[in-house]
Amino acid sequence: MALEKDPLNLIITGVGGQGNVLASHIVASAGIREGLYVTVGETYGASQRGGAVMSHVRFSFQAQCSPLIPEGQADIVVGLEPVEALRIITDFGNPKTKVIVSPRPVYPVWVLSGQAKYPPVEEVLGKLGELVDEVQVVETAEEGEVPMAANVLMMGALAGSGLVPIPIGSFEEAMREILSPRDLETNLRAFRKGVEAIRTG
Amino acid sequence: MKAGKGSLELEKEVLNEGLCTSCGACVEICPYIKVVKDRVAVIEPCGLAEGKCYDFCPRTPTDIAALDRRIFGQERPDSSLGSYISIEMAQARDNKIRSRAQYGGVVSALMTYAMDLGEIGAAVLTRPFDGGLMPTSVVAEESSQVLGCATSNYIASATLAGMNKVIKQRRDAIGVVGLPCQILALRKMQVSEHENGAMGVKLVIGLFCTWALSYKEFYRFLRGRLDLSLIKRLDIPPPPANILVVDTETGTMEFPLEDMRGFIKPTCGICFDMTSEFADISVGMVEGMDDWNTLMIRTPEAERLIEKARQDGIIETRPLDEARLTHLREASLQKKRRAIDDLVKRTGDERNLLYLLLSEEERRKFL
Amino acid sequence: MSILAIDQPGRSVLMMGNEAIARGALEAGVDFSTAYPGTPSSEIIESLARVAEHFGFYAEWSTNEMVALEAAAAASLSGLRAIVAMKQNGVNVCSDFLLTVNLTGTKGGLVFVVGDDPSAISSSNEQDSRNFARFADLPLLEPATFQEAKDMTRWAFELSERVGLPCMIRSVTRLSHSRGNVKLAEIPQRSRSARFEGSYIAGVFVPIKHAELHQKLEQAREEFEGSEFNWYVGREGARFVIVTSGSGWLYSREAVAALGLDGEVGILKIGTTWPLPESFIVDHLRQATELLIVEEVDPFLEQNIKILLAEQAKTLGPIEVYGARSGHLPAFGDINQDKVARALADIRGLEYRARDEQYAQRASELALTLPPRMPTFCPGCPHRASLWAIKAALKLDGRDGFVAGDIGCYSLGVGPAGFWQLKTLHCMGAGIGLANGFGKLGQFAFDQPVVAVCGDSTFFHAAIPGLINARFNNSNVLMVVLDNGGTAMTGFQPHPGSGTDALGRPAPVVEIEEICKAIGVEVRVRDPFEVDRAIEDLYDMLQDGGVKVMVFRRKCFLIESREKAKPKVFVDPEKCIGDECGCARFCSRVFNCPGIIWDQDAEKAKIDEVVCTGCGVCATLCPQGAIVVEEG
Repeated sequence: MALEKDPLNLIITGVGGQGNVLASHIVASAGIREGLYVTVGETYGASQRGGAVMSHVRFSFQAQCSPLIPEGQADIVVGLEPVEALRIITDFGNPKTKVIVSPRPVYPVWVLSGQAKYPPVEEVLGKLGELVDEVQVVETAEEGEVPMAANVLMMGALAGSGLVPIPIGSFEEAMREILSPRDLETNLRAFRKGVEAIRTG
Repeated sequence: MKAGKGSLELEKEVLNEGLCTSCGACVEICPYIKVVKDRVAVIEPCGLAEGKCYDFCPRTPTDIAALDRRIFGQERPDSSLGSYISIEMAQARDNKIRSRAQYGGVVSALMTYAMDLGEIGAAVLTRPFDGGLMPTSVVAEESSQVLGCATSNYIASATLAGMNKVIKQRRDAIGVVGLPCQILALRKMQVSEHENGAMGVKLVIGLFCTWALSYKEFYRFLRGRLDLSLIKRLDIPPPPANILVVDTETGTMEFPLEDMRGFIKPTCGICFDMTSEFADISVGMVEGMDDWNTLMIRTPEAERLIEKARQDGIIETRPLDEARLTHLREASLQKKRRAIDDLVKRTGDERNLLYLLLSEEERRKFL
Repeated sequence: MSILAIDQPGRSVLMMGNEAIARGALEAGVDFSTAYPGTPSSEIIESLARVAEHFGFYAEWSTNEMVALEAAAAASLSGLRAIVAMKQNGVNVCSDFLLTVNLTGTKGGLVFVVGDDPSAISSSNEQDSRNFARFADLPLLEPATFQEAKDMTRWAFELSERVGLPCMIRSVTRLSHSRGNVKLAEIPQRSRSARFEGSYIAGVFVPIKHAELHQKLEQAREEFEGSEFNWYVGREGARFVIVTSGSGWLYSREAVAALGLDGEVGILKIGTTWPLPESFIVDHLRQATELLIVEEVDPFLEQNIKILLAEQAKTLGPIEVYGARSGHLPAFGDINQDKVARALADIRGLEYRARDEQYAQRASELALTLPPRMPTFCPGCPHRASLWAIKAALKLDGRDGFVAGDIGCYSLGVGPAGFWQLKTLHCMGAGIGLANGFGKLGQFAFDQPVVAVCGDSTFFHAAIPGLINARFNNSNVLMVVLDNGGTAMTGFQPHPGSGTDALGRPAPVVEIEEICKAIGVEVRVRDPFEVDRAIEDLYDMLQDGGVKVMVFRRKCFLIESREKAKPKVFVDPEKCIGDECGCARFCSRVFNCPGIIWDQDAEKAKIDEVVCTGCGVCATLCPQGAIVVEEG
């Protein structure tokens, strides 16, 4: 097997606490099952407490990649938070980058305290559209509902999009291995909702 | 009266200048201003340009004549003693009250009576020596609680903070007992354009006051000399005694009054009001007669209550003799002169009396 | 079953660098493992502890890194194989032992792993711990890939036993916390038994022992000459060679490919970084005239290579060296492929543009319009309430008092999350250390009250000597111990006050307040969620001199919320007065809990149900009683 582009660079981004790490763990484990070299670069620690976080996931059939995607080299960006998705694109995006994004904002504390303004989500999505050709918006919950396992749902969207050469079955196998039996059901449901969501557009 | 200033100015003009009386009017209105013991501080600027704290504070500019007109419907006929209907001597008829009280027990008797009549549902009082030196704010709902707050303490505590807390929760009429600075703040709240619950205070009893002591220094002085948890009573007998008497469970101690002067709150030096000029009823001691109070009846509502109390045998009243009346006037005048002196020293300008907005005429009476 | 315990030699799995290191120790048959939690190293002992019972070896969370290293050394001296893991600051803490055990030598393989944190992503400083290897004359290995992280660790035990010295492995955040492919090998049966024989004494015949140490190091160097961890790729006999170690390897390889220089340059990758495999290096530099040294953080490799070049000047001739000293790569912060590519392009006179210039320009402009995202305390964090109480008490006190900070989640108190209260921040224990010094300045007209904050784990790690010093020397200091029940910042590992050990079994509890009492200082224990009471207590304690300790005890809410059903918290919009005098958006704007949002349209506060953990502190602070907490 070969990748259309080798290495294939994916960034999953969001806010500390949104479950970035689990999401990247799932897609990376799924990748290894397909015989790929996978490198996942994370930011941990202080950033977990409400700071911006990103996981760089790099797939290659040729060799192990470094854990950081170079400037402008992201092929796919999955944004668990709209402003963070845009922030990542400004550093790592190029016009060909494919973006899958959740439109639900998580307000930074400086916005909450009135020291900074959070732009309207439409504006953020518009700016994203300025920098990349393809943006797919995926809602992580119904109107008024509280999103459940949004990170895994977005992985479902990624899986269903066909942008990574990893079959859905491998994702689910990886989840079975990583998650505890107690959490598996909820997460599988969220995952499948994501697959459905991206396919029905 | 809307002042157009807020917590920043309060801090700059009052708190940082050592002028705070610790009345507590600015506390429990918002999360930004707190009081511990008698220390008031703005913890964090609220960011608003103007607000209640500055408006309510008794040390921010106050038009005395306007306040007189609002409360009493007239300019004050007596520059020295403010508006009043009569000045008498009085004492509680109930021995139990009198034995517990510092002097005549009139404050306890009247508050209890007003409660029993149903005219007020609760009284905001100060309980001294509650296990330590610092008095605590108490909301009394029945007579034993009122009596528990009897006796003087010479430390100003944030009574109005306690009041602010309780008027958030209650809708019925309440009574308040306070020092002149606290009564002034309470009245400023009642006439303020800022919405607040002070209009629910239907009975305002003010105490006579010459000065109050700063908690920290006084505490440090006493704690080296006795076990503060055993204090029962503080008293300053009239001149020429010149002592502070401390009654404890294990005995009585006396200290020269001179030693206390260093602990007087600096803000007391600019205080204009000895007899709680803005209260409904003002109560003080009677020199030489430990069992009696001086009673000033200032408003018609007060007069009505006192008449009823007299008739129902709650209190007994007698006329106050001329000599004592003159002495009272003199003492009050002296406090005013000292205050003006102190203010002019601070500002360097005879026309700038900081918080006292007096007419040209009034001002000249004291210079 | 933990990924570490997978018994399928030859299988390739996705592993974190730290897990690979732990697996390497397992494959070496490790008997004894110790650590103090520290990012980026915590997962090493954490993952070992998870399988310790299964494999029958020992795992421990030690009070601090010095004790951890000493305990592990004891195992080594008794013939067992031991591993210690720590973050960069940890090696500073155990340096005294390191610089004596190098002289006494060790017996069973002793491997100590140091996780450096370039750019201080989760640290209060930046340092290159490789310098310790040179300082202490100890062999140093630097893994460059996840596979190496495992294989080097396994080999390090053997090396340590052959030369009789502790062996240092230096990892960095990008390796420790990243994940990649690792091919597993066998986990051997272990059959070692412990017995102490002989003597290991520093302080006697030290110069002789020091000379012997140098000989041992030379022995290590001879092994390094033929090591599989050093290699050369690219053009044979290249004139331009990149010399790199650690994380630099992958970045260099990718930078070379990005610039199309694969056929032109060579890359000499060193894994046995100290002592340098000199002959191996010289052999590969015979045709070289230019070198670019790529490493994180200090020019450690660079300086050592330059010494070697100077010594071999006759053989190698003049060689131009580029790197940190020439300014091509920074001697601070972390590196990445872009930085290496730019350096390479600059030296070779090539153009390297990551993206179209206009696009990059537009992207930068848009980036500036985005609100910054500062880390804050988690929703429900007791530190928020504690620091607010401290702020209030100091303000009420009115003497310009300040807070000396320490290391933990509460370190975020240097910023808006903690109301800017912490005015000093250095290393573990420095809070009380500094404070107790400030508290002796009274004779120099110093009258500002000083508050030292430290966490429960920090208390055991480093703060006790400072507290004793304060008492012994009659300093004026108020110490506030923020006891949230665990070592929270690094992942809530247990410590002596928690009640469980590394394996989750019940452990004796050492009580902070009892230690304080034994030291002879006044100590109070309060719940910081009772904010007004806390303010009053703190204020009282600030009034008199002497040493006082306030323990603010309230479990980390992130942990607590996982254990309990979350109450529903919401704002009653009828009662919320928002912008008005009396509130001025206190909860969302000042108290700053990320679970509280200011709804700009409704002009009311709102609780974000997803983020809120239901602690209810905001409800107690709301001046209008507008926040409602509904249990269950």
